[in-house]
Amino acid sequence: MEPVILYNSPYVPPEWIAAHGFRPMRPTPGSGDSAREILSAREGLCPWARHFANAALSGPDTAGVVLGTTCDQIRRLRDIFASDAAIPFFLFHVPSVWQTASAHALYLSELDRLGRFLIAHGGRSPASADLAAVMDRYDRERRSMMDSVPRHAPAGNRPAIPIAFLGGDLTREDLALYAIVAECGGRVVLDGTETGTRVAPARFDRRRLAADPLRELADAYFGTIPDVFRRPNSALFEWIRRETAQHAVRGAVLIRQVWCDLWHAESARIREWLSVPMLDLDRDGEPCRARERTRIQAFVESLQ
Amino acid sequence: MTQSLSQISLEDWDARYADLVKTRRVRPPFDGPLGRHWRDGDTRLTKFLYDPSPAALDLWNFLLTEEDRLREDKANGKTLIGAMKDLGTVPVMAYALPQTTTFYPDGAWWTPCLMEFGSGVLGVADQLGVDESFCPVRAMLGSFAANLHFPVPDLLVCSVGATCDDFSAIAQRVEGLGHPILWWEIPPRREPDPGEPAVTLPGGWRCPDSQVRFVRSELERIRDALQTLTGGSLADEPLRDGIREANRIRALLREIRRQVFTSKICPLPSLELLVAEMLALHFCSDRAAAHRVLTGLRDEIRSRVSAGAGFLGPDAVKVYWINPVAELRIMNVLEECGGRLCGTDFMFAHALDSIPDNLPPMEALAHMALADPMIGSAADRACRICREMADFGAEALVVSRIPGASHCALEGQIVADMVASTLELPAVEIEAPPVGDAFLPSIKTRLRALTETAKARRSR
Repeated sequence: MEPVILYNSPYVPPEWIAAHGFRPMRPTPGSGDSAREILSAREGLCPWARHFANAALSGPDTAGVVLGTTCDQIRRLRDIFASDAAIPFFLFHVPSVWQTASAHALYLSELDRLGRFLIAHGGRSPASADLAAVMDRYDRERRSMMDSVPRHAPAGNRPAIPIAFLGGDLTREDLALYAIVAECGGRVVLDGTETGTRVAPARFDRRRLAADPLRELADAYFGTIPDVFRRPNSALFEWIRRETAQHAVRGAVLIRQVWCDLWHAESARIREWLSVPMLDLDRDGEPCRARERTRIQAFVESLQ
Repeated sequence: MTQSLSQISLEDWDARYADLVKTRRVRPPFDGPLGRHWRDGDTRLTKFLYDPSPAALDLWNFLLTEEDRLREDKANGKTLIGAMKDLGTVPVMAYALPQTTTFYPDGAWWTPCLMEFGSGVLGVADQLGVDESFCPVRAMLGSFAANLHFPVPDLLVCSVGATCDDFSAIAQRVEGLGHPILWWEIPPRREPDPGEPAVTLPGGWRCPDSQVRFVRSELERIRDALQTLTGGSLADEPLRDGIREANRIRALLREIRRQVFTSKICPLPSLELLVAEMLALHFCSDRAAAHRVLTGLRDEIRSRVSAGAGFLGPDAVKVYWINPVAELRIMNVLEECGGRLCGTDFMFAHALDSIPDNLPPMEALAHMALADPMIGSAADRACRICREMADFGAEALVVSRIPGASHCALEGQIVADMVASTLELPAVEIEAPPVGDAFLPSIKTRLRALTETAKARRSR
């Protein structure tokens, strides 16, 4: 089995890690992942970042960790990782600015640096053809997954209310929200969280894939994924408007980790931007309780 | 022989102002009794204690007239640049242009404190969904939305990347209100890889040459925008002049800091030092006046030091202070607890370092931007703090947490731990909102415990 490289961000291409001979893994961390809690809950600390750090630092089979800096909380985890010399880590700077050639070049240079990090920790330098093959395989697998049926459909024959999930990273505890929506008569038809279709890179262009796979990789990830941290973040709002209309969404749930300023600050604007009602759900990294269930139930009922 | 000075109240200042006017040959254009600012709505001023010198009065008047001066500049046809977040780089560039004034709308974060929430800008931010879980810089959003406290700049420039999430998010909301922003990227400063060409930055940190080149290219975009907007030239020569002027002000501040931190008797209270340091950022919207104000303050401090005059006694506990306070009254509390400042990192140490004058100006500015203590690791920042604490002879550390700021969740503990393990000195973390009356008793207790602990360690 290939050694595992953990990474946190959809802007870190797993193809690049795999092409270097590692098994890329982007976990959905949760409480109880680690025997020892290195980072405990504290005011101001993002629960997802806390769970991720605890999982990564206590995982026995991790060859290294890549921290994509799409937020300040993750960027600052580097001090926590640096104090634990046992696991090599790499701070991958994902530029917030995205409309300039220099930002693209910076992203590409970060990929290059990541490659050197992987090689320094036992990886192999991939030939272009090898990288292209890995990218092709991931592309096909990704399309196949995206075409599959959503996980949770409501019980019974009543037509489900089409719901969109929007927001950032989800902890394992947050995954229960999909089932809760289904139990309440809704169905998540659009996943705009940090694990959903919103963050899927653009499909690779065959011709460019063959000619310069690394550049194509950078263009597909850095050039197309809309996100809240990008400056400006106008592409995210365009995505929301387009996709919610295309999926005939009747209500949206914004799932944000408490202390995540990036999503919290945009909550009011997303509400204005949407043409359907929105439920703003803050999560604390703990299992879903009656509070979340009741709020979702009331929200879905109000959409009937 | 030492002369003990005492801080005075706003009432005291106004009572002695008439006499002061008679004795001053030259008065700055912003001169006037401090009480007028209280009448204009800065109600918190009655809660502070002040340095009793005319130089300190000038400092306060300069600070508190900034909004009026900005509006006057706008009315007189000057171009207004709103720099955001980078704390010290963009203003050096923009002041190199004629008829241009640059300021930080971020500075609105003290408004709720000074006006004791009277301006309503936090309420406006609340209505926009940016509540008290965010840093007080959300006052900036309320100010833009309500068109209060500063005129809308002709150009807004904001650094993003290795910045606080709360600031970046709030700036994005400002853009969402219809104020376009020129975003520029500042990457996290990193250690050079083995064999990678590297440079040493002001402040002593090292970073790869590639990061300097990247930041320089980002600053070139700002240069282009400034030139296009104003029609003026930001060629290397005017930029060099701008750097020279900024360095003159930075040199003044470094001397002020050195005297304040190392003199046997503290020659300047901590509140005035905080205000003085802030002038490094954008010169309080008037570079020439900032130089005059700081020169006056420096001269006052020099004369006090040579006369052995100052506040508290030689027994005062020397405290290193991290991060600015949203509640300015806390700086007075430090003295009430027997403490004096002996080193500060108010998040802009790079704005106090000299900008290299032996490099092409744009490269020198890129060096400076990359020396920002907030874009590196907390360990980097802690190393510099430890070095300064040792140099200045600090006996204790205060980490002032900024309510809601994304960097404060982890950073304070990391810095405090490093100080404790490296220097074996006591440290406390404190936090208060912009008007922190309810928090002051507990903060006083914590600061008193800190100074008592530090004093007890002297006898070991």
